[in-house]
Parts: sequence; structure tokens; C-alpha cells
Amino acid sequence: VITTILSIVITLLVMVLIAKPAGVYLAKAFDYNKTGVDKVFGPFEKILFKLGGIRVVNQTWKQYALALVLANAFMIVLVYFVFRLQGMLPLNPSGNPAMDPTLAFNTAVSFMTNTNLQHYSGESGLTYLSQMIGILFMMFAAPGTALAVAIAFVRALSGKEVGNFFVDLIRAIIRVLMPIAFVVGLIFVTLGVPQTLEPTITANTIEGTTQDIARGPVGAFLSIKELGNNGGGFFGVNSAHPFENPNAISNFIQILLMFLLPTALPFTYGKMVGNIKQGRVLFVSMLMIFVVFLSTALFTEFQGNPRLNELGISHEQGSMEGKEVRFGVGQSIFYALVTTASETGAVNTMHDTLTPIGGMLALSNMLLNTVFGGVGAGFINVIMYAMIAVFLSGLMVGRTPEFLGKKIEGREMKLIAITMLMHPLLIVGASAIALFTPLGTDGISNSGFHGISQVVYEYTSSAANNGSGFEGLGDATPFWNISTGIVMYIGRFFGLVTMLAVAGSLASKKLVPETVGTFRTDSSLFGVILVGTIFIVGALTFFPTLVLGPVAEYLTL
Amino acid sequence: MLDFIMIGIFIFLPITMVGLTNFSSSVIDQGSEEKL
Repeated sequence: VITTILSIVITLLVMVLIAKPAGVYLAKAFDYNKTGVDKVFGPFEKILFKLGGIRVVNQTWKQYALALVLANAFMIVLVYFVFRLQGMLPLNPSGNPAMDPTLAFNTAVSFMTNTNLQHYSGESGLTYLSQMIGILFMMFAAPGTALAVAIAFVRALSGKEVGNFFVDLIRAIIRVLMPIAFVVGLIFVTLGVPQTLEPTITANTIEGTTQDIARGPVGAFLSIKELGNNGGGFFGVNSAHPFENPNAISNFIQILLMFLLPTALPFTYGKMVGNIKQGRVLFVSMLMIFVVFLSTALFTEFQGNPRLNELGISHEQGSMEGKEVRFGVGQSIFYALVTTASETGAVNTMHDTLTPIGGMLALSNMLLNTVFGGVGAGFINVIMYAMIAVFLSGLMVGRTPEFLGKKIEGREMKLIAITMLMHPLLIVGASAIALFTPLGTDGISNSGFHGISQVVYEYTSSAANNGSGFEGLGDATPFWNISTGIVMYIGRFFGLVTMLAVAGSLASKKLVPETVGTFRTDSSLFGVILVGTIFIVGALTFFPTLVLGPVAEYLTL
Repeated sequence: MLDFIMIGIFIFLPITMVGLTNFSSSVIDQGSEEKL
């Protein structure tokens, strides 16, 4: 246990150390003024700008939002047809058939929304062509989109013009995602991850039988899967597969990659608004929530399963049900909490078999959707909560709330309110429909309270664009494919559009001079209020749901 | 048949987001007098 805790602390320390430099790099990479980064990547980008007919011209927030929505819609439809026609297209050495329409719909939306919820198994459900030009393409385009929007959002908050969506998207891919993914992909290959276009191989086992061993271009897939907070596995069992996570070092790198961009963005924000302390407060606040959740989850998982403990079975190693033996309880729980906090959705353990409290904390990360959150989209949520915290503080002391020197008024709060309400509406509303009809309840594999958790987890994972699942749920049916597809889509784009509007509105306002009465948003007091606001809003919204699921399961275990 | 339904949803979803963009824009434009 001590070695496990030590390895987790070291990983967190490395994460903290690289967050600020990574954040400062992001600020430079997206700066429209000339920086050193232009010298390296400028020539490649110029070629792409020419090919795409892109001019480096500022858009209004509305043009930016429309470009984002329409470009993403186009990419979704394109990839849908790749999945539907994959049986006839090349690079299909294992002879996989076309995806059925609802599954192709779900998968296209899933990967374009950065969710990577998978209702198929990669080995048999997709061809190599689909994995590469469908899945891999969207694994760059989706986080690139969110990163672009987050940067545009911060630009507007800092009083500048919003920028240009297409320029930002290309920069996100060329300057951030591709270089890191390429280098780390090579590291994964040296650690034993396959990178080949050869088909599935048949091996003779020592027992005298044969075994089909799936392989493919996994190395390239794996690095962007983690870096872009995508999370979709090349193999059905994701990062529990030895080809997708061969050892402790690959596990360590995957955890760092998942947190790299979400933890860097607060510092990017600090740098761009000209006060790094603004970013540090957000970073420390999110880290505190994460550490509390992680410690509680580790404690409860190391206690083991009370039912098994009663039988006198040793629980020295903790609750090992559903855990990968190579990683043990500690690294499995750490991975589970990182993947749900960063909305990645990659898994190295079966989340369905987490203890009730462990599962509840993984679920809570997605319900709050602000414990760093997925690249770009998560950070925008954090700022949304920061504005709510400022607004509530303003109401309490009777002052007009101000954020970064701009007055927050009714129009911004209206948009923030509908954004904040959409997340629970999607989760609770869709769960209610699923629990009300046999189309939904037929998929539940547990007749107890855990069955409710399975459904709520599925929709929470969809709405928060996470993608992991309580895999006991039989979700490969048209009902689940279509309903989660719609939840993923709205969960993704609703908040991005409305919060861009909020940023655009604030950008057009005059700066209010700071006085002694101004409530500072770069102080530790603000950090405490922010964390309090997140917990109060989260508890008010989701506590009844949690009581019906994991809490009831815990009390009756 | 299912393909047409899926494509119908593909068209419907972005249209709702375009509608949301216009709605957000109108909220911003009309709300300046409502100071809190």
C-alpha cells in the first residue's frame, strides 16, 4: 500500500510540475502575435491554410460558434458513411462487416464529441481504415475543437477579439496534439504496444488449442486517445489489455497524458488574462477536489468488499474484483479517478465492479464535470462555476458582481443558468426515460440499486463526454445507441455555444476600474468559495440520484 | 430506412445548435437594461 501511495504522489507531483510550463506553451501557441512557436510550425500551417482557403481573420463569437457547429456536423456525417461502408472499403484484412446504422450514428457522434463511448468492440467492430480515418481523425479533431473554443473563450474574457475557429483548430492539432502524440506514440511502441497493419494472428497455445490475437496500429491510437481526453479503446477492454497498456511505465505515462492539457489550461488562462495567479487559484481548487475524491476512493477500495470480508477471505490487497492484476487496486483507482476527472473515459479496470463509494466518486467527477474536466470543455465549465461563485458572492454583499473587471449582468446569468441546468436535465431526464421503459430496463444486468447506477452512469458519461461505462449494462441496442448519441451531442455543443456567447458579451463591455470593494478572483478566499459553490450546486442537483443508486447500494451491502 | 432516420437526426441536431446560437445572441442583445 505504501509503495502504491508513493507512486501516486510522485505522479501527482510530476503532473503539478509540468502543468504551468505546458499552460504557458499553450498561450504562446495560440497567440496571434508573432512568437517563437511560429518559426517551427508556421510553414506547415501556411500550406494547410492555403489548401483550406483559410484567412487569418477574426470572427465574431457568433461566427465562431456557427463555424464550430457546422464543421463538426460535416465531420460527423463524413465518418458515419465510413462506418456504414467499411465492409466494402480497403484495409479490412479481417473481413469485418459494415456497422449497423444506429451504432454508426452513436460511434460517429461519440468520437466527434470527444466522448468515445463505445457500444462495439474495436477488434471485430471496425476495420483498420475506420480506426485510422474515422476514429483516429476524430480523436484529433474533437479535442482540437474544444481546445480552440477554450482559447477563444479566454481571449474574449481577456478583452481581445475571439479569433478564428479554423485557424485555432489547425493550430491545436499542428502545434499541440500532433507533436506530443507522435513522440509519445513512439515511446509506447518501444514499451511493447503494437503498431502494424497486419491482420489478427492465430497462435498455438501450450495447451494445444489455438487463440486469435488481435493487433493493429495501436501505438498511434493510444497516445492521442489519452492526450486528447478521448478514451476510446483500440481493444474492447481498453487500457486493461496488455497491448494497450503493457506495464507500469505505460500506465504512468497514460495518467500524465490524460491530465496534461486539462491541468495546463488554468495556467494558459492566467497567462492570457495577464495574471497567472488567476489560473493558479483555479488549478489549486480543482486539485483539492481531486485529491479528496481520490483519497476517499482509495480508502474505500482498500477496505475490500464487506460481503467477502465476512466470509473470512483475506482483503489485504483491497477489493480486487474487476481489477487488472498487473496494476492492483491503487493504480486502478488512480486511473479510474483521473479518467473520470479529465473526462477521458479510458479504463484499466472495470468501473462496474468498483465498490459503491468508489463508483460514486468516479461518477461524481463526471456529474460535477469541473474537476479539471476534459480538454477545453472542462475548463469552460470551471470558468462558468467561477462566474456563478462571483455572482453569488456579489448577491451576498450587495455589490454588482464583476469578473476580470467586467460586470456580470442578467443576460450573462441567464445563459449561465440554462447551461448549468442542461447537464442535469440530460442526465436525470434521459435516465428517467430509460428506467421508465423496457427498452432501457432490459439492458440492466443488476436488479438492485446498482442497476440504477448503471443507467445514470451511462448518461452521465455521455453528457459529460467521458465515455467510460458501467459495462454491466447491455447498451448495444438501437435505444441506447440513439439516446446516448443525442445526449452526447447536446452535452457537448450546448455549453460551448452558450459560454462563447457569455464570453462575447463580456468582451464587448467596458472595464470597471478596480476598487478596494472589488471581490478579487485571484485570492485563496475565492478558491474556497468556488469549491463551495461547485459542491453546493452539485449536491443540490444530484444528491437524490446518488441516494437512489450508489448510496443505497452501500447501505444495503 | 434507418439510415434516413439517422441522417434526419444529423440534420436536426446542428439546426438546434444554430437556433441556440441565435437565441443566445438575442439574450445578449436585449438584456443590457436589466442590471443586477
